[in-house]
Amino acid sequence: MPVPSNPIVDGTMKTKQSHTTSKLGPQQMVHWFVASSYASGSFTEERVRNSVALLHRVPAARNAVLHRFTMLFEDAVRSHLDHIEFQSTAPGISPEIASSLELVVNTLFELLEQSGKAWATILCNWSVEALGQVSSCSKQRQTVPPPGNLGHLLSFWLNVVPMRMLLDVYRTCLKILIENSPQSCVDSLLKASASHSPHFDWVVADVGSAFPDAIVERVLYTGFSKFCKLRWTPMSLQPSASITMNENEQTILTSVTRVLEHLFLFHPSKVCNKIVDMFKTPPSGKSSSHIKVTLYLMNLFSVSPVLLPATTEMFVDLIDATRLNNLYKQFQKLNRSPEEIANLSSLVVHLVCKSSSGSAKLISFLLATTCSKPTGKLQGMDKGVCSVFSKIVSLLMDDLKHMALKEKNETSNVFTEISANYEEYCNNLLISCSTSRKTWWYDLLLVICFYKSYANSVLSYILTEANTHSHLEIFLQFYNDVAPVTPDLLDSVLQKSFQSLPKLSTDKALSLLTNINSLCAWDEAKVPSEGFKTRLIKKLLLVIDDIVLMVCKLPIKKHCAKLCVDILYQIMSTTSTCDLGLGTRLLPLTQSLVYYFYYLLHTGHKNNDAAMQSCHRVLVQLTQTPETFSVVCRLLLEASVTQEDNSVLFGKRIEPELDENEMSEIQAGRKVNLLALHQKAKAKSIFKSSLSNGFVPVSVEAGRIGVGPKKKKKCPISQESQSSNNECLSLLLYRCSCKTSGNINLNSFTIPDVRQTFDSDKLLHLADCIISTITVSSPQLATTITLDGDTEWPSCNTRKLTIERDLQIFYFLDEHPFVWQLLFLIAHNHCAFNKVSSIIRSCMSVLLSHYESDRYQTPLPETSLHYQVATKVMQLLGKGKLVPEPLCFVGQFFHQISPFEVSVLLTTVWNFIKEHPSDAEQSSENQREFKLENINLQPFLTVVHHVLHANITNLGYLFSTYMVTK
Amino acid sequence: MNQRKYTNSVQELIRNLEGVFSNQGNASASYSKEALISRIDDVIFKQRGDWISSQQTLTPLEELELTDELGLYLQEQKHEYVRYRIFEALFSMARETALEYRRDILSKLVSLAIVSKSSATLECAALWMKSTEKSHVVHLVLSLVTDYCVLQQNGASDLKACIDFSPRFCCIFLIALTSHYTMMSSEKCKEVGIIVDDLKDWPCLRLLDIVQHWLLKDPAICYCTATQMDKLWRTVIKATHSLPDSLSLTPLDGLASWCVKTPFAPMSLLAPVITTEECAENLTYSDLHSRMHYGFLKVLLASKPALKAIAKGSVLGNPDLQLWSKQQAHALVGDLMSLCNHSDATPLSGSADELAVDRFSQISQIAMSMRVLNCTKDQFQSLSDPLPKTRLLEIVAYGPNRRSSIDETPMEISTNY
Repeated sequence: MPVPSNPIVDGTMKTKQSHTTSKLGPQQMVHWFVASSYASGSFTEERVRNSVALLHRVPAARNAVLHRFTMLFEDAVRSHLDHIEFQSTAPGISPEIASSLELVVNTLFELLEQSGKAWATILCNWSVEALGQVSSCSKQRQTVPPPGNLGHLLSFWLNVVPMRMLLDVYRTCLKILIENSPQSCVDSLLKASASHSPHFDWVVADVGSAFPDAIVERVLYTGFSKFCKLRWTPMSLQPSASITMNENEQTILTSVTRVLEHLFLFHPSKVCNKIVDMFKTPPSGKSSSHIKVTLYLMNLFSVSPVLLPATTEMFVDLIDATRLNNLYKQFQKLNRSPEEIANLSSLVVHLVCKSSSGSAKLISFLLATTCSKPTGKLQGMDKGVCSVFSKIVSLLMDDLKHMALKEKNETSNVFTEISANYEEYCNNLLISCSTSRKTWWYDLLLVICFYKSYANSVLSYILTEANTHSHLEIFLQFYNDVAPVTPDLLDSVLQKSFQSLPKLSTDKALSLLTNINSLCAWDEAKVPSEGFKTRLIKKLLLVIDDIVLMVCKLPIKKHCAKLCVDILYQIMSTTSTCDLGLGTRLLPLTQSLVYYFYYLLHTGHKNNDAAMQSCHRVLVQLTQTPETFSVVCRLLLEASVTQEDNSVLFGKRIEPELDENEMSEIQAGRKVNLLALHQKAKAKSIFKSSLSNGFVPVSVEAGRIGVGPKKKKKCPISQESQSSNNECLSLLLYRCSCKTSGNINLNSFTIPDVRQTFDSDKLLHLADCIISTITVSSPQLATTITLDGDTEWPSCNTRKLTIERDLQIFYFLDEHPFVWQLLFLIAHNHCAFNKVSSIIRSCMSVLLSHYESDRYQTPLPETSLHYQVATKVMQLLGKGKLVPEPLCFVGQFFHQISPFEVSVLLTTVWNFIKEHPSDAEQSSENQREFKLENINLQPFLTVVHHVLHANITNLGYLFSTYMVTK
Repeated sequence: MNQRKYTNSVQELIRNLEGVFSNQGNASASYSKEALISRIDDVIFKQRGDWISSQQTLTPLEELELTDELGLYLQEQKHEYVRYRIFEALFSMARETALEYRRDILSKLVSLAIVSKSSATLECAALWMKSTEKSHVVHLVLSLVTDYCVLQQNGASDLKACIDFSPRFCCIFLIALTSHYTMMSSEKCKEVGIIVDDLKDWPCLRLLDIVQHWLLKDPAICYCTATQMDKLWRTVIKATHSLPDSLSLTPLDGLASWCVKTPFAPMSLLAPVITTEECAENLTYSDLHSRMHYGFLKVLLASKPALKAIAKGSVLGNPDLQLWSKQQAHALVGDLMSLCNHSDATPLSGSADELAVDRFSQISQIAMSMRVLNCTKDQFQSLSDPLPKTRLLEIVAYGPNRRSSIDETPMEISTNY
């Protein structure tokens, strides 16, 4: 410290000094003082001593002397700072000045001791002003910390002795004032703070922490009384004592807030509580004080970005209907003009815009006040209050909108706060019945949307929550309002919605998809939406992958899948295949749809179910071109055979048929004794028919000797659903194969079975698909088709070589009845049919073997599998133009002739086909014309005639059919 | 030098003003007078007319210089008329510009004049006080009270000394004091619930000491405004007579009510004591009041010259001027009734009520006998009727022979004055 220790004051010198001054009259003392003030040179102890004497003697010179003291302190501080800055060259505070300072401070304390009450006010004003002045003067100094760092600044100044002394004087004065007349103790503090901030803030901070309660309270109340005087006292009556000329509302408010903000740093709760207390119990018992306090506080907040957020929530909790009514009454009593109300409203609006934490609460509160039938703590609110708040809210909304549009890129607290609650607002918007409140919620949401990236969240939320037509209208309106200011809005809304979809509960997800779907199908004639639908679908294309993904997530969201499929249909029905981007998307799209289709079948859906219908619809839509058709077809069919689950649907037999004994034996894990089984079977057969005696063969599955007899298997699915499934799949493929002109009526189950209905190209693809499907169904079948893939029919005798493979095909067809349907379909195009003729050939081969080997004379019953297959084969051969009329009609009487005769006829047909192969190069567009080929049918028909002859009693009437007219 | 520059410009302006006021007959003077006065605020007080840019630019030191300079000038100016005109030109409260600041400077000037015993300044101030609106006068007086009775330890002696060189100032000072300190707020007001600053309406101990000192030292002081009415005073007072709220001519009314109301002083005032220069022993508030009461009675007894002067018509040309009018006495009775605890019953002996009524009786009796209060016996009887009855009041109102309702208790005549 550069301040030297207390200098020894010479007693004799002191008496001499006092002699010189006491001898002088007051006037001479004044002259002496004035002269010494202007004289050059620094303070000497003599001069200071004389000043002190003058202070004691001449009251009129008080200000001048105190002013001189200020300069003394300033001087001392300057030398101190010099010393810190230039250690060696500056000597610091000289002993003389040090002792002078001591003298001054002692004098002042003496005065305070003698008549503290009187001097405290004066010295308080003086010391605070001196502190301010010295702080301001030193602001340029390097050693003084910048005002931003308050703590540093505070500790710095507290270490400077003269400042310390001044501060001590000030604190003592303040203490006396707080004890005696607290009303005016902070006036000077406010004033100094206003003129010397921010370099003076450390004093405020120090004093504030010394007397936090008193200072906060006094600052608040002093500001209030000044504010009241300025605002509510007519100009002519303005008491001049407490308000200086250059004070106005603004300066008062700023100085109050500056001090409070400082105190807030160290005592946040105290400041907040005092403010709230002031609101709760307004000063003085006058009737209108409550509204005055309110207005004052509001004005205060309007200039303080710190205090407002800290207290917002406390106030919102505090306000209820009674308080509001009371305030309103008082406000009316103040006899304010409409402009005042407008000002007040704009002030409120401003405050709301500025508030940050708690602003959401505040806004909700404001909106609650506008409710026509308020509940809770707002019950019983005056109508007038309500109308005022309505005005405020509408103003607020306008302002917020402006702000939101203007400050798009800035981070404003009020927006972050309200944005967090957008879900609540959305709910309110949708639920609220009152139109006006609806408008406000709507506006509020608009604000959130205007601000930054919340538009997509809000819209997607509304989209999720909407569940009536009117809600969707709100959505559309909202979209139309926000879209102009938000680029790619729809895009982001959809993206957001679909991103959130997996996280939503089933209900929400359902409603979201329903809404999107109904928007897609929006009737624009009823509610104009300016091409929204088209845009929506266009944008949906961007999220089509998400939709496709949703279709696959069946186990979780099975209901959603149908909606997704519907949406997909909407998209596809209005978008060109090119836009769909099928090149890359076709495969996943088809995969999921196929997956969905089989899912539907598994869950027991029938043809006429809505879900199945929509699935059909979208698949049909997808198969508009032969190329896509081929892919869809392939996937559909392959899925039906490669996955065991699926093939079961159509009747594949996988489960062994067991009787109860066998079941129990297998369950017990016992090995099956073949001999026992044989004996058992023998006993059974003896019991059944007495005809067969001796050894009864037991068929044993290849490679499974020792396991037991070959088991018959059955399909776990009921016959009924099997046929329904088959019908479903074949109907789908029928629909898909139709020519793509116009929409297919899904409700009609009948498709005219004529050649013109179907697209011949598609049929070709279908044929390929069937072949490949059979190929992939099992390795054995693969060899059947691929090795024997030629469409040539060999000599009838050679067929025995391939009998095993043919049998497999035969059973494949039996287990997948839909293939028959498809074959019938393919038969419309003889080229396509030609490709699948190998399947027919295999069947015929099996049939031939069967009928040949049958030695019974009676015809096979109509229910027998072989009979049925034989008729089907004959029909197919006729339809597919491999066999001409009337030869192809022989199937009509298979049930009336003996098996051998059937085999004879089948051999005839075989031979015909072998001798008259279909021309592979013929265009698929034209039907095969047998007439043009100039075929001699007579040798083949002769066989038929023989058979007819042999059964002339039953089949005589058919004879004319097989006569060839030459 | 800055110092010279300012004082020089002040001196120059004053000299110009002096020139204007001393040659009033000059035709061109009136024009330059207005111009000069308008320059006063600018040059002397450095206050701009417009109050948006108003910045107080006089430093405290310059203020001190200015007051000193003005004091010296007024003292040196021998021509009484010119002196007052210049004083008025500087500090007239009729001019709105820089009013508060000029008033503050005036307070300092007067304060300095008191300590430097400058009678010229004080005389000017006395006339200014008499001819100015009361609120401004009270402001000045209060600032002097603060200076000499509150802040200065032994400032009272300076004020006391004023009687030696400017009795008229003391007289006006008294009028202003008594009109400001009405002594009306007391415990009673508190009971009603009106929150008032308890001590606002009561003079402090030192002030009371000064007042009693003046009254005892020179009872004629109260009449010096009437008796020493010279030409200048008459002119100025007549010109400002129509002022709505000015001070009365003498402090009699105020002093009378002070004497009567003192017994109701709030408790906080009664406890402290002071020692004065004349009397070594500690004096309490009530001691000082007894002295003051005694002094006031002496003042009433010394009213002859004033009454004569009034009768002659030398005081504002109004021979019917009342020193203490019936209305004023009536108002005092009203105040007394509101202060008394039991207005109807006979007050307890030794209570504040009794003392107050007794003092009222004494004052009234002497005032009536000295014809300060022009009031017949009957009129006084009806005037004092609502008051609580004390023996003394009965005697004053009805004479010693009337048998009163009050018990035969020996009348206690205050021995200490």
